[in-house]
Amino acid sequence: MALEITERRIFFDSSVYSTEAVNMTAFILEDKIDFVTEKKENGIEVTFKHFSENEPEIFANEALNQQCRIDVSKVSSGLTKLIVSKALVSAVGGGKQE
Amino acid sequence: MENKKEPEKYTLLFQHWKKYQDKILLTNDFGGKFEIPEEEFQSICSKNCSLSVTDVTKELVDKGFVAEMIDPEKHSLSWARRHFSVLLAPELHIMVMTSRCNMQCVYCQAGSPGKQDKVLDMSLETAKKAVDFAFNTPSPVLNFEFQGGEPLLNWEVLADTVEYIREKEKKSARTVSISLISNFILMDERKADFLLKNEIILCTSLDGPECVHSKNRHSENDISYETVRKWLKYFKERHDNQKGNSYRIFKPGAIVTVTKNSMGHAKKIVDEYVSAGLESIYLRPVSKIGYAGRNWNAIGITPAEYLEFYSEALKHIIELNKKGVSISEQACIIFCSKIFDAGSGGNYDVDSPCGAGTGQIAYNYDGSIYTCDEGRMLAMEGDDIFRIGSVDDPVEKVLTADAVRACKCASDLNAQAMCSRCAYMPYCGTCPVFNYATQGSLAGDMPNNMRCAVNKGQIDFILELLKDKENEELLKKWL
Repeated sequence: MALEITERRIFFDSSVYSTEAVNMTAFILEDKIDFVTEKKENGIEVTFKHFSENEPEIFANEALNQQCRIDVSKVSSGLTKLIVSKALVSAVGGGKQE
Repeated sequence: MENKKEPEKYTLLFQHWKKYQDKILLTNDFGGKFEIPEEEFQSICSKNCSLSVTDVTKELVDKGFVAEMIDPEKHSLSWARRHFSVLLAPELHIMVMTSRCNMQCVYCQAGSPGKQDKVLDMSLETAKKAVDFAFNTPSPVLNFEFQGGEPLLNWEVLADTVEYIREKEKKSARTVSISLISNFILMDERKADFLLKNEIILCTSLDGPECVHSKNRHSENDISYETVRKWLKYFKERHDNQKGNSYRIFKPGAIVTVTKNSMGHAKKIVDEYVSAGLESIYLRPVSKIGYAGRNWNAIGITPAEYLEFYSEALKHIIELNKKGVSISEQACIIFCSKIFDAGSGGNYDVDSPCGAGTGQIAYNYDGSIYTCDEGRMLAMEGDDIFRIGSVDDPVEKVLTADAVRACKCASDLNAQAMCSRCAYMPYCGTCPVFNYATQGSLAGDMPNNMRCAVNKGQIDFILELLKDKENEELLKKWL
């Protein structure tokens, strides 16, 4: 019980959250929140060092954001590459129609 | 005669949807919009989006919702019309003639350092290099926009640069326009005459009646409101009486920044524009960037407050139109252009990807080049992340700089976690500079993003207005 007060944990199940999403979240929040990540058999456990009313929620929200980005990118990265490339080529005058 | 084989199956093709009142609103990347009862939508989804022959209506086909019946030419043109910055080279070239300013507005994003220090002025040499740089970009259309700080504080260089642009224009096949964004405090008849003879489009800030304007825009001796009204009247009269001139005089324009001081004054602000003879108003909420961010407690507003203000103002504008008064609203025009498939709306912030570095670039007083004016403003706060080069660099290097590429990727809504499925994606756009300045990442965090909330709320309101045929006809006339 004491452990519940001084430390809070979130378990990110690997069937939903990729290691990349949790790692990116850890990278983004490492200078704002004090935590430790530990790889487990079916996912990653994040333990928060200090009790704070919203640190786990901030971490969980960012992990969700990162996982959504990874999922969206799997579907749309080809389209984005095409659009971005076309924009850059147009900017420097390439691909002009005579 | 070729005998086309009918497809064996039809598929409902949509990329974006949302629950809209008791229906589901479907949209696609071609700008198609279609409302379908929720039960019917669930039924189609449960069958892998397959449609029966009787489901395939002309409307669905025309709007590009039937996968097997996409017209590549027609539908790709629809896509291109609303993504103009992807297909063009930079047209808008913003020149910061000086970083000095003779006013201290409560919402300044650039953190203006006052009017004394002339090292913050653009030199004529730098200005000419910036103009040469712009003429070296490939766009057939070049729009130069002089701004600051207050550009009239560097008048001699500004006037010489205008003449330099006009000389270069004569030797090129480009279509060139020049505009000036000024608070008019240093305007006089000599300057006005020069600007009009050079066909310069003049724009200022008018935040509403004096009680609102003067709270937002502080000037020495509190002369801003009276000065703006005086010069708007002067330029309008010159426009109205230009018959026989050898040069064109454009109508003056003005923009509004909506702050806490504007709350409760929506109708009065619109009426102020009408009484000033302006036929267009551009309502924009204050952005939490720069000095405005530090002053947020005094001037900041929530998206809900802004949307209440906006809907009251827009309803009033529509009522005025119905009484025969000619006035339109620019944000509504931007969204309606996309909703009616009439173009992109001409705003680089509301495009996907945004126009940073490819549709517009900003030249700071010292010759540094930024992705856009917002990126340049952030630099005035000490963060140079959106700097993409200088006027001495080759065009190709600047226009493909890391910051340009990062802005393109971050503002392509197809790659945005929330936006890629949002029903309003075909009408919307995001600003990486705003996202970075307010949320710490170029891509932003849309569920908590003020502009996302404002854009969605504005589109909600406009779609609601469009249910009335009379409103629809009226708004189409604005485009």
